[in-house]
Amino acid sequence: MRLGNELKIGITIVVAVLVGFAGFRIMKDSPIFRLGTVYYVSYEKVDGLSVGTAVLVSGIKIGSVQQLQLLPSDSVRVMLNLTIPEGLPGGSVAVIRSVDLLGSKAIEIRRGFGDPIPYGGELEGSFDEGMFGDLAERGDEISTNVSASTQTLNNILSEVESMLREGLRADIEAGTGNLERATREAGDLITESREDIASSLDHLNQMLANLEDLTSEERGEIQRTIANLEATSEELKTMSESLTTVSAQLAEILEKINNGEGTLGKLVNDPQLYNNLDSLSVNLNTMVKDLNENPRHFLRHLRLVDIF
Amino acid sequence: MQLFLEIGRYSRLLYEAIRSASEFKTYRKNLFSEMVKTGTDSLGIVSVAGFFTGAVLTIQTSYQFTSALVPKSTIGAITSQSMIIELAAVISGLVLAGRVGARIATELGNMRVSEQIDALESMGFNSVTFLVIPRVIAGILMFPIIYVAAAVSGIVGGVLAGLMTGSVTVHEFMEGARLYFFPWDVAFGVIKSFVFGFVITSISCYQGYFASGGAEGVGYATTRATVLSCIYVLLSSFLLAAILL
Amino acid sequence: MIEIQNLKKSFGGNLVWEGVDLTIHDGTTVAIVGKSGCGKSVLLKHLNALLFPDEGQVLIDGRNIFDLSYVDLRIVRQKFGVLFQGAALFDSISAYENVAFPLRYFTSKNEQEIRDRVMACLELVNLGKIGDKGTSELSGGMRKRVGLARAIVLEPEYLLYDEPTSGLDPETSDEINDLIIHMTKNLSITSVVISHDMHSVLRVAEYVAFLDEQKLSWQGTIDELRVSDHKRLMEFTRASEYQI
Repeated sequence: MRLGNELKIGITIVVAVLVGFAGFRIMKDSPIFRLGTVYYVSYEKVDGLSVGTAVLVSGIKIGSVQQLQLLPSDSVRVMLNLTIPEGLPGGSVAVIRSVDLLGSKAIEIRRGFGDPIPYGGELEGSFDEGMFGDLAERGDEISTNVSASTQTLNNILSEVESMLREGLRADIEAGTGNLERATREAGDLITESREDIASSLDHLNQMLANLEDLTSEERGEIQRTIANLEATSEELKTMSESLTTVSAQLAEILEKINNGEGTLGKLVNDPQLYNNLDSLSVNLNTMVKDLNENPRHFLRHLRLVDIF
Repeated sequence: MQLFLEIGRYSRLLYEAIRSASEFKTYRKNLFSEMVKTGTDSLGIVSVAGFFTGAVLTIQTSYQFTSALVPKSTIGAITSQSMIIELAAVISGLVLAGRVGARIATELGNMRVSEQIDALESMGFNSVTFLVIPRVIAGILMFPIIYVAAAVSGIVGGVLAGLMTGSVTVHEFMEGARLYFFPWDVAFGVIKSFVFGFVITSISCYQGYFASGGAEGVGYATTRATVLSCIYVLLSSFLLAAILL
Repeated sequence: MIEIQNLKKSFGGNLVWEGVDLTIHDGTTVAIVGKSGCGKSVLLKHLNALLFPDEGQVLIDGRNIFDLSYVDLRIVRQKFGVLFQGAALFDSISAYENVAFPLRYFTSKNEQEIRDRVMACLELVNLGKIGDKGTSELSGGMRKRVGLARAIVLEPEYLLYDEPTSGLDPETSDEINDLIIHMTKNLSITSVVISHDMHSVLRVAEYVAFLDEQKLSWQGTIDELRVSDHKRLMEFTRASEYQI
């Protein structure tokens, strides 16, 4: 019984120590039953690095940071514990780089091709700022550029807008002006002609009365006139028929224009022309702007013209 | 008044124990049997308690952290760090306050009321050396082992619960657990378990050793032993956290 | 020789007894009698300093045991064998181991010598075939006899019996009485018996002390007891005799 107890305790303690040790190593992410390969790297700074940070080769984890030590020179000596059985080749570089957006860091080993570095040896270290590092470093420059670009863009847009707005308004105003004038003229015409109209109507009445007189007197002549009128209306009918033909032909021509056939059609339907015109107007605008800003550039030529 | 008397008697018992701790020959046999009863035999219940604590902790943490902004690995970090710092030691302390504390108080109380302690004394034994020291030393020696069992089974329970409910993968869990794994936490847990081992066994020994009044007295001593052990486990846990963290 | 001098004991303000003087000569059997709860067992526990008095002293071979250091006291205690009221066997070990227990810790005997001694003691109390029985399997009388075997295994000079016959049937009681007489005569052990069983006392004791009204109110030999005119003692003995 005594031996039994002592045996039980022995087993318990040994198992507990082994489990505890293994658990500790697992949590520290160290190889469980073997000392890892230890290397040292020195860095100017190790922002974002901590004990336990992963050490990667081609993105595969092969170990972790074991210890960080601040040297008197303010550089940092980092102890790496690697699980790979073979040593690293000479010329291998340990690069600190970002692994995600939040600035988590890892050490990426870029293998060299020299003779193996002995265990406990020094690796060359470098600090890869990464995309965000670049961004952070060149942030000022970039932001200045961006804001200048935005400013220019803004100017252009506002010019385009004002150009469009002023051009259109002039056209519309002109159109409406014409229309107004036309209506007014028509109104004036009617007002001025009122008496004429009234007298015309009187004349018409008189004429009708005369006509009555005439009818009784010159019925025969009237009949002849009517016959003439009949003939005239016959001619008119023929004329209207030919007019119909003309209008049909016109419709045909318009359709062709619509379909883009013929010169006129192309003129109406091809946006190229409009685009050309448009770009022309933009060019013109630029030129005008240029002219505004650098009048001398153009005035030089103008002066020449003036001289001669 | 009663309080001071109790503290005085407790201190005298401890003093007596420490004074005679060198008589190893007297209690060597008892020490080994007590280590088995306190340590080895408790591993089962403590592992079960730790396992389910870790499992529940994982499930509840993943239930509470529904935010997409919190990475899944946080669950592993919370479960494993809580187990290592606090829960492994305290849960096993509370479980063993019941299991070990009650056993010790009943044993000693029964020996007291049936005059077995008097019998030991009258044979020329130092009953404190013979009865109290092996139990307290067994507690101090075996509790760190119990702590390891509780912590390991708690983390295993957490991993398995995360795996079963699909809330967190083993990789995520361990990533978080490793990120927040500090050797000092383990040292703190071990220190705690030493203290709990001492607190539980010494209080239970005290209650049992000074039991009186027959079977009812033994029952009373046992109740007090378990209740006081629990209270002082929590209290010392608080004090250690306040001092050491 | 045990000399009790002017002993006084109280528990938390309640006086148990005071002014107790009693001399127990070597080779004699002294009975301390009295009603239940009069403090007989408390008095017995002062003889080997399991309890400490408020006043007075107990001299063992001329040395006051209450003045001894704990280490010396433990040596003195080994001169005593004690049979407790409920035998106080260690219930986690077998009957045999109970008897062997003191030998394992206090002698350098090897296993065979221990076995011989344990078996001799068990033979003495007529339990030669007890073997490795657990203590819970034993009857009350057997427990007392195992307790007696354990009390004598270290060959003590003094044997203290706390109510040796209580809770036993008359026949078993007689067996125990015979054993007490046997111990005193054959092993020349000085015995102190606590009892309220006058039948037993009259058989085993040579000298009787009557503990009553918080003091030793009467003491004398068995012959003196028979002719005593102490009123309360006569009431006590007569009550006991009617029980028989």
